[in-house]
Amino acid sequence: MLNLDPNETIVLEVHRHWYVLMPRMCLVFFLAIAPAIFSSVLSATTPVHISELLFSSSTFIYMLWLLLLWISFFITWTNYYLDVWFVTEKRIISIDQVSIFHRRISNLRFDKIQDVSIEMKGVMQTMLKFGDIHIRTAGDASENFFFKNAENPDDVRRIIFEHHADALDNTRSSTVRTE
Amino acid sequence: MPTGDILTIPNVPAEIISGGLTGFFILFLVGYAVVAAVLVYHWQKYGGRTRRIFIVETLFITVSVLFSAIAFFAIP
Repeated sequence: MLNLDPNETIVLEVHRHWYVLMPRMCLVFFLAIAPAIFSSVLSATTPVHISELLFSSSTFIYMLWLLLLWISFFITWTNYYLDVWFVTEKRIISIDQVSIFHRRISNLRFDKIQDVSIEMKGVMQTMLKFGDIHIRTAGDASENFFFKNAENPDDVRRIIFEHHADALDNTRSSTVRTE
Repeated sequence: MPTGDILTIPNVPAEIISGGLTGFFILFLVGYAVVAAVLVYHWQKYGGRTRRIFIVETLFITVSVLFSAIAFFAIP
């Protein structure tokens, strides 16, 4: 899955917070119970022979409906779960799962990092500890890293800073050795 | 020109309705299985062999099989 160097290990795995899935979960729940509400309205308003035909196969139709909702929710979950940052001792690997057949993978070495900022705004982000992480690099703006609604952004920033400091120390010591 | 109630439903034999629904159900299941296979492939290849992926995979397959079985036995 990831092409890591031989002595490279994953220090941290950052996902988006589960709260971002809530609107989708609520929608799926509503759509799952909607036929029950709809059927009671339908039976009261349609002629008897049509409602009889519909209700004779209602369980069958309802199960197909639930299967469609079930798999559509897991498609969303897959895009959510596979959207991830891996932090190793050497770099950050950003995997952007845009859709099921669309993945973008980019790397950022710690020595390229100039600044890491986080933003947690609103009651929910503050209470549930999630927010946006923005990493500015030494290159142009297109090389900046951005992760929306990451879980525990404070911890992520702390770990990135620790490894950034280690990377700078290593660079300095190798420069001194060559001199 | 025939006249009558627009909402009148022709009297179709039960075997034809049942056969049609079974055929539709098989086509539905084939499409479902293809999408499910794509999802499972993604979980296996990119999700790693973590406990969370294992739980999600088990939950997804179990509930899918359960709903499919109920749908099959509910064909009139």
